[in-house]
This record gives sequence, C-alpha cells and structure tokens, in this order.
Amino acid sequence: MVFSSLPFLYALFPVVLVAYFLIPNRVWRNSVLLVSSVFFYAWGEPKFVLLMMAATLVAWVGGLFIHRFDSRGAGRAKRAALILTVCLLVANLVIFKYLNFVVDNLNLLFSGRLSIPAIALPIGISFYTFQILSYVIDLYRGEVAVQRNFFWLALYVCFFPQLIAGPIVRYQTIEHEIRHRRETLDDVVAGFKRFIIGLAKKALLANGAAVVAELVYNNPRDAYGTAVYWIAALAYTMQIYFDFSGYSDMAIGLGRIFGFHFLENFNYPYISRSITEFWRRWHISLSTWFRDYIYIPLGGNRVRKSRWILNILIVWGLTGLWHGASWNFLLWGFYYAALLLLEKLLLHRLLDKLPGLIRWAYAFFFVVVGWVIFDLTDFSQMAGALGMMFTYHPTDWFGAVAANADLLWAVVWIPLGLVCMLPILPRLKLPDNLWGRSLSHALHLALAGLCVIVILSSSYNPFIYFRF
Amino acid sequence: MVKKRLADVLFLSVILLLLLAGLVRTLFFPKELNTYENRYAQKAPALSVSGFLDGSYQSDLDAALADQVPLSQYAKKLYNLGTSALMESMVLPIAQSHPNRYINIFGLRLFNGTHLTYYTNILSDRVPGLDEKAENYNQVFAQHPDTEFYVYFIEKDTDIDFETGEKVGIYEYLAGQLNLPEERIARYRIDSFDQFSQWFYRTDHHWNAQGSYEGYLQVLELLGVAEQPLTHGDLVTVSQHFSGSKASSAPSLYEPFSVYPYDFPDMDIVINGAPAADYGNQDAWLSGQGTGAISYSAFYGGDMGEIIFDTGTQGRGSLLVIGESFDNAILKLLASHFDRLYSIDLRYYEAYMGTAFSLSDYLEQHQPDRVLLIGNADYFASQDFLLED
Repeated sequence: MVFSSLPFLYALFPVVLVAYFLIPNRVWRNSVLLVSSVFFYAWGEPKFVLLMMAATLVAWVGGLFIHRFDSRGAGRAKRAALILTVCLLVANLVIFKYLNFVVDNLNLLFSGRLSIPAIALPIGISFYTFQILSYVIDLYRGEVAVQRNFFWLALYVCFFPQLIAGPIVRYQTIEHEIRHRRETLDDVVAGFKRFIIGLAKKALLANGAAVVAELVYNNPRDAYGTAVYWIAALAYTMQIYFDFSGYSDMAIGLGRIFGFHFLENFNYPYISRSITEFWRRWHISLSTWFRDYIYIPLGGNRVRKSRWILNILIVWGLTGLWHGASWNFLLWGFYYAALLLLEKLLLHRLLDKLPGLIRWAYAFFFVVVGWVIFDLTDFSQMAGALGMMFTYHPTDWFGAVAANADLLWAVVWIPLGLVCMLPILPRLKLPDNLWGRSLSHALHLALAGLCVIVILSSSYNPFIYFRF
Repeated sequence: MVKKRLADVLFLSVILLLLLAGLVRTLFFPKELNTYENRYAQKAPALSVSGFLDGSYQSDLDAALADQVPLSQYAKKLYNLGTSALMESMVLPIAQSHPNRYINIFGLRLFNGTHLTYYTNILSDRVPGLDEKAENYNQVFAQHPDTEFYVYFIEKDTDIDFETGEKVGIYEYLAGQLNLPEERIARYRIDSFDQFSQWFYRTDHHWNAQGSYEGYLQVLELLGVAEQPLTHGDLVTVSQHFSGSKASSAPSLYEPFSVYPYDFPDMDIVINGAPAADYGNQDAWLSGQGTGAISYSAFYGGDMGEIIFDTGTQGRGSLLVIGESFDNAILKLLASHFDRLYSIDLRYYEAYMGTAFSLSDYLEQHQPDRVLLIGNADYFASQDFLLED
C-alpha cells in the first residue's frame, strides 16, 4: 500500500486514526499501530510479512544474546553474536535482492548454466534491513538499550509510515518514543500539514514530471534531439526528488501525528553548491547510515590516502548497489565516488573561489547527469541518452510535440518543479495568530483537495522508491 | 489561544470527516451508477483470504473507492476539464501553425488543429477480421438466395491518412471478398480531409448532419429507391457545447451541434418490443426542450436491440437494416420510404430482446424484401457483428 492510494487515504488511515485516538492506553495504541502496519505491508505483499517478521525475530534474539554476553563481560561471544546476527540479516537481503543478479552475471561471465528460481523482491527490504542492522549494531556499541519486548521491536521495524520507502529511522531515534511519547494537538496538526505537503509533491509534481521523462525514454532514440533529452533528464530530476522527498514528508508527518519525531531526510538538495553538499542534503538517513556503519568503521578519512580512496569506493559502490541489483546503480555509485574524490582532492579550493551561481550550476549539472545513469538500467539506452545529451542533435520541435503532445507538460512541470525545489515555502511564514493559522489550514485543505482530485482521476501512481 | 485551538480542531475535523465519508459511503451506502463514466459503479468487495492473497480484493477495493468516494465523479470531471484545457491552450497554437499535420494527443490525433481523429487503420491488422466476416456473410448470402442483400461501407478517419492522402483500402479488400453483385455494394467515400471535415464532427466519431444526409442519399441510391428523398430545412444549431465521444478525456474541446430539421411522415415505432412515441429526441431538441447533455444518441436515438418503424403504407416494401450507431441518424429518413423498416444492432439484440438473433428466423417472421448491412470498418471487421443464421 502506498500513501497516495485510495485504500490508504480513505480506509486504513481514517480507521487507524480513530482507533488510535479512541484508545487511551499506550500499549493498546502501540498494538493498533503494529497491527495496522502489518496490514499495510501485507496489502501489497502478504507472504513477505513472514520474511519481515523473521528478520525482526533474528534481530530480537540476536539483541538478547548481545545484551546477555555484554552483561556477563563475554566480549568475544558478544562479538560473535553480532557477527552472526548481521550475517543472517545481510544474507536475507542478498538472497532476496541480489542473488538473481549475481547468478545471472556469473552465468554470463563463465558461460555457466547455473539456474535458480526467480526471486521476487520484497517491498522495502533494503529499508527495514538497514533499520534492523542499526538496532543490532547500536546495541552492540552500547548506544541503545536492549528491547526485550519482541512486539515493540516489531513496531519499530514495520511501523507503516517509514516501512517501505524510509526514511531509515534508527532505533535510537524512536527508542524512547515507542513507550513514552506524547501526542499533542500541535504535533497532530503539523503532522497532517506535512503529510499534505508530501502528498502534493508526489501526486502533483512527481507524477506530472514523470509523464515527460517516461515519454522521452520510452520512445526510439531518434524521435527527439539533444534539447529534448536534457528536458527528460530535468524532468526525471524533478520526479525523483519530489517522489522520494514527498514520501519522506508523508512518513515524517504520519509519524508526528502518532507522536513520533523522525529525523529529516531531505534538505533542499538541489540548491547544493557542491556534490559533497548535495549528499549532505539528499537521502540523509541513507548517507549517514553508510557513514556511521560502513565508512567510519573502515577508518573513514583517518587512514592513508590510498586506503581512504578505497573506503570511498567501497561506500559508494555499496550505496549504488543498495538502490538496486543492477550495474547502472553500481556505476551511479562510482560516479559519485569519482566526483567526491575529485572535489576533495582537486576542486575544493577552486570551487570555494567561484561565485555561488557557478558552483550551483556545477553541482546541479552533475546531479542531473547522475540521474540519467540512475534511471536507465539498460546500458545501451543509458549510453544512447547520454550520447544524445552530449553530442548535438537538432530537435524537430513540431515533430517532437506531434509524436506526443504530452511532451508539452514539461512546460508546466519543470518550471514549477524548479521553483518548488527552492526553499521558498519556509520563508513564507504566516503570522501565528488566528487568521494566519486559519489561512494556513485553508491552504493546506485546498492543496489536499487538489491532490485527491488528481489521485481519484489519475491512474498513474507508482512510487519509484518501491523497488529499493 | 482558545480560538487558535478551535481552528486546529476544525481543520482536523474537516479532514477526518472527509476521509471517513469516503469509507462509510463505500461500505454502507454505495451508489449503483457511475454516471460520468457511463457504467455501473464498482462496489466494495467482500473480504476473503484468497482474494486478499491474490491481490484481487485490494484492486477491487481501490476501484470501489474511486467510484464511491463522495464527489469522485465531479473530481474526475474537474480534472479532465482542467488538464484538457491546459493542454489545449498549449497545443492549439502549435497545431494551428502547422495545418494538415497530426498531433498525438489525448490518446487520439488532432489534425489541422481542429479535428480529433482516430489512428489510421493498418490493412494487414484488419485482414483476419475482414476475412472472417466475409466468410460469414457469404454463407448467409448463399443460404438466403431469395433475399436481396446490400452492403454499405462507411469510410471515416481510420480509412485514410490525411497527411499523405493515402487510403487504407479496407473497402476494396472487403468488396473483393463478398459474393454480391457490384451494384449491391457501395461506400461512403472519404478521400480528403476537406471532405471529412465537412461530413464529420470535430469531437465525435459519427457523421454530422450534412454527412448523415449524404449517407442517406447514397443508401437510397444503393437500394434503388425511386421515391424522391426527404428534403431538409436550414441547418439549426441546437447546442453550442457539444463534446463528442472523442473528447471524453478532453471535455474542454467542444463544438456546435447543428442538425437538419426534417418533416418525417407519421410512423409507429416499436423499440425493443415496446411501442414508443418516437426514436430519438429530434423534435424536443429542435423546439428547445431537449434535456441533459447534447449528444449524437440524445438527438438521433441510441443503440437498441431492435427498432421497428411502420409507416402504415402498403406496396413500398420493407427493409431490414443490420448496423451500428452510424445508422441511428438515418433510420427515420430511410423508414420514410418503406412500409416497414426493421433495425437490428447485433451488439444489443440478445440483451434487450431476451433471445439470440437468428437471421433465418427473423427473415421468416418479418419477410423483409431487402437487407442492408451498414457500418464502418469496425463493424465489418469485428466479431461482435457476426451474423448467426
């Protein structure tokens, strides 16, 4: 189930809201959230609920052992418990997400005939696996307390707002709030407003831009010229940002309605003036996860230069692969590794001296190109699109529009996207009096109405981040 | 502070009420019809383990909510109107600066910036269907040697590429397959966009007043009717806002709906077995009494299983018309020249009449002198219109 679907908006969400706030008891409220979260996940993947619960069980049992060995001072056993738990969880991820990819490539490489059944990708497996890993590793590090109640750990793992597309919420972020949170009217109102903003990003902006990108990439290469391929790249740049950040907004808003305070996952990434800054603003929960659980344990930058370069390559290779079992994601990861190394080793001093606009243009340019690599899993299609972008091919504008007038939606959605990617809304603060608040409520209601009109009318509604 | 809290509570109450209203309506007070999309409304499915596991429950509930959520039809209407108006405002200037060119839009093609057209047929795609129909017809012709069969093929935008002027050739192919004398086969010929734009609506797939009158004249000639055709009055515009079938997802596109007034002779009409005051609502619309949205079927009459027109005359013979919606506009015109005219639409006959259509039985029962098979390429290539003898 996705947040912008009718069954969520008109069935699960209101039922959960009513049930949750009618019950005064914290334990029962958590039970409502747990049951509804399992139902939410089962809506799209009934059988994979068991897999998610099994992974949670492994983490719960592993956590109990880590805690027990820790309290007995058995350091080696504690470490072994950690390694075993992590291996089981990672193996689960590898089997369900990467095994087909590995076998296909081994067969290709060695002309082999190794055959395994096609394994379906469970929704959100990368997100919940990383959440579970953060619990186990933080427990090992002594940064969180052991969770003895399996159901509360399960609630952390499968809490529906962040279950299938993040943000990757660390256990320590909501450890306290699972049992001791307070729901306030202010939080509920702010949560609803955040949810509506996210819904608008997804239903209006992302889906609108998607029409343009898909139109261009689904047509033969010679149908369009260079300019149209840049328009498509821009459209996809808008689509993925509003899609993913919209989902994060909805997740954060929903969490807040129920008294949880998740950390921010996006901070206007397209205003970045360097690639380094971009990754501080884009999918923050993922980049900080890799920083804290992979990069720093590998030694971070406090090692000799060659090792540091290797660390960067490992982290970004894994970041790429986290997004999908496909070579283009690995290439995309290494693309960013190369850019970051270039920035850190050569460009940072030069960039510091350039005007802000040039620095922004530099970062935005490489981000846009990066999304083409990310979007097109077929290498020949990717090479073709990049070739069209970087070698001049004139555009027959009438022919392009005549082939499908939906291309004209670019005129609407790309400028609107470019405006909405800027931090304008936070600056438009209404006065905190009755009229200001009422106007804000009315505007959010109108925006929600617009989203519902589009959702009711449009059959196009996939979430890109589902596949991760 | 209290007032601000009240505003917050009001805000949350409105949202919750709207969300709950959708669920309550869907579960407890579902409506039967989706009038905007002209079909039965989907209702909430019964929850079952097997339905949930195979995903059918989820998709059915999704469809039910899309139909049952309060104001959902207005929402869809508003969305279609807004998006099509926006798209139209962007496309029309481009289209008008490129006359005689197609632009793919709304799942159709806008030609010349004025007419929504279907994609041109590809003959090879249609050949299997045409062959099957030709075989079916030839069997029928052979089994009823005493009945005069006539074929009238109506060409439209699918039969010609307006950019190149190239014809698809479906009529020629079909005519070559049928075991009928040449003089019993004719077509409503469209050889250019100018001709098409004169005889067809801009937003609907049917022929317009001028086109249908032309078709009527040609059918009379095909049938060898010696009587003078009915004459029409001056063109009358009964509505300025006609948005035809091709504009179903682009309601911002509309055109005037103009018609010819006719002085029809008196006739008794039986529709689907029941006597009817009239077929269609031509008089009502012409006198300004038409209700609802104007459409081809609202004016001329809709698709029916069987319609019988009886002029009460003797000696002018009878005609059986087996066709589709194109003939709706000329049935009363044609009926004026016969004692009786029987009209059958094979798509609806069984549903309305309660029994499958059998040509042999029908011919035996009504003894029509002539049988006219009339329709466009879809009619002559589709299995929906196979004749069961």
